[in-house]
Amino acid sequence: MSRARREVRRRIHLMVLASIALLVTAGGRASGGEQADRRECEYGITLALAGQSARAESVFVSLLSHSRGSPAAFTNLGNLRLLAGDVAGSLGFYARAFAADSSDGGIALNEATALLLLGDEDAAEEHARLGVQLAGDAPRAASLLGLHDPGGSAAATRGAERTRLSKEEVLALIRAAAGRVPADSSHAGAPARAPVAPGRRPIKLRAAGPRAGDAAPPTLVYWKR
Amino acid sequence: MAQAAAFVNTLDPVVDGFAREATRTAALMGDLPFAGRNLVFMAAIFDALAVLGVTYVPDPSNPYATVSTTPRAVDTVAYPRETLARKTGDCDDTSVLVAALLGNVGIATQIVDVPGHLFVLADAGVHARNQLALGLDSARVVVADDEVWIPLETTALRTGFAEAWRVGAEEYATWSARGRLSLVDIAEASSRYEPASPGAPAAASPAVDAAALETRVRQDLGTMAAWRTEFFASRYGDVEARLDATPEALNDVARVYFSAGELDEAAATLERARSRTPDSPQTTNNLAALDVARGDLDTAIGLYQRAARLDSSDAGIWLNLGLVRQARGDSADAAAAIARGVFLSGGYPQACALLGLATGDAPTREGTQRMTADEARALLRSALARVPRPTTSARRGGVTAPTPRPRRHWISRVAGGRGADEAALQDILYWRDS
Repeated sequence: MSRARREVRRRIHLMVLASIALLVTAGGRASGGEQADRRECEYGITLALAGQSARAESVFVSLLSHSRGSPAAFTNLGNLRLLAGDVAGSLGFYARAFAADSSDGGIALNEATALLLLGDEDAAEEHARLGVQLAGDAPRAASLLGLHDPGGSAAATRGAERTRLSKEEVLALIRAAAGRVPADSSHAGAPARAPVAPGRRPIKLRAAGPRAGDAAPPTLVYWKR
Repeated sequence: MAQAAAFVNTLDPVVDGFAREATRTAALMGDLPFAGRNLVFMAAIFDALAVLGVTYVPDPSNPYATVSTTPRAVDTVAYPRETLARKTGDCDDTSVLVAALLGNVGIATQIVDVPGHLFVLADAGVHARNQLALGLDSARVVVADDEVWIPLETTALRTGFAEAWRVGAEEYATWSARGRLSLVDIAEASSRYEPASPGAPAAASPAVDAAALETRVRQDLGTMAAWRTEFFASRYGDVEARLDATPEALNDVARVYFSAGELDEAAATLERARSRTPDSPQTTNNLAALDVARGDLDTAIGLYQRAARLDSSDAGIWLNLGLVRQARGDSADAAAAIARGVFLSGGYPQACALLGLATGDAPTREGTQRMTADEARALLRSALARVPRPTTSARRGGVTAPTPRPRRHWISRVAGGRGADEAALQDILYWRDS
């Protein structure tokens, strides 16, 4: 092999190495950004769960700034609206989140919770069914909401618009919905969503406060990481 | 060790009276910094024992450390009411006492059995998925069975709740790392070893100085708040430094509010965006939609004109301007603006897509804020006649054909789901996404 040819091969070799180094650096930068986004999201959830809603909202808007269209940011902003009693606003954020990630059963379960608060049990159960289907089964769906599913009856509480929900009511909804999920549907992909009634009326709810036997309110919804 | 459950009598009247008095004091303290009652009730019960003066004293004749390592040795465990009366107990006595008091107010416990010693895990009432609710370093808690547990060193009663927690967490980590730790679930063990009662009649529950208890609980909650601050600073300090609120993100959020009919929230969010970039065509265009929704078409037209000056190549802004002018009754200027929008968008189907409309035909009504999708489509179609052909208009010297903007990814605000039903004008307008 001539000296010139060896030099060409050496240069190609160096270029390939440089390209690999660039790719590794770029990949590291990307994953570093994702990691930073994850921690930002976690911080927002921590603040929200600690009751610092205004600061949490700023963090989720920041997450949207860094990760445009983030379904986690929209989900968690929806949770903040729900906890503030703005059910219509929460449903708007959940719809936006689900449009970005239609495989996440937790978002559908949050919609079910919001609809239950509106007193629309039928739509709530439809969304809960979808949530259970996407989550895999009722215990996994309950776990997404931070609930243990001890089993039991599927007697969903029926009633009008309300300002509070208990763990038991949400679990009853999930159990009732689980009974309607086809047995072989857990891996069927994203099923069709029941449409949310148009013209939702904005309603103001008193934030559900701690009550003996209830979960602390921020822990009854699914926080997306 | 499961037999110890037989001594955890949560319903003993003495236990009940003491636990109720302690937690009542905490409940009357008003707003407390931690969501959920379990942590506050734990602090109250632990601190009530400290205020009462209950102290760890090893059994001089039969220490647990010796009993636990001697085969067939028999240990004695005091009933909770006995430990309360004596105000002393070794690790098994104090663990049983704490488990009974916490169980009385609905807090589940587990006994932690390590070589020569016992202490307690208490249920924080937080699902593992929501561990972040505590805002504490994960080293301070134990996650088991999808639940978060607080390790409590019951021989540290005098030092108060926070210190007992700190010591308990260190011990748990140490023994867990060595694999020398086992757990006894009190509820499960109680089903096998039914709790018994001492034979003697119940005395009155010992009284607790409520003021002293409140002082101690507040101190402990202060310590826990300091832990939280420390955790936030160490874990999220750099996140705080990177927080941002771009106009694009704020427009996204405003759009959700707008779609939900929450105009005040949408306006406030868009004003935040405008304060960051006052000359943003995106924010200006989207603010105009709010004015349309509020019925203030003149202000909306002014904003659309301003948005069009800021970005004259945005077809959607021209379409909006035309639609609102039409609604205002100014059909001549409306047609010109719509013609420009149709041209810039690339044609009728593209203009429809910008407004989230399927293509179709229908009549129009001038001077109304309500407009069917068909009417909007008809406006666009009639505007087609006025759209100059780029190759001929310049030659004719007629309307100057603006340069079509480069292709971009348009996202219609309500793409799909809109049929021929009558909709408010704001539901048809183009919402700019970037």
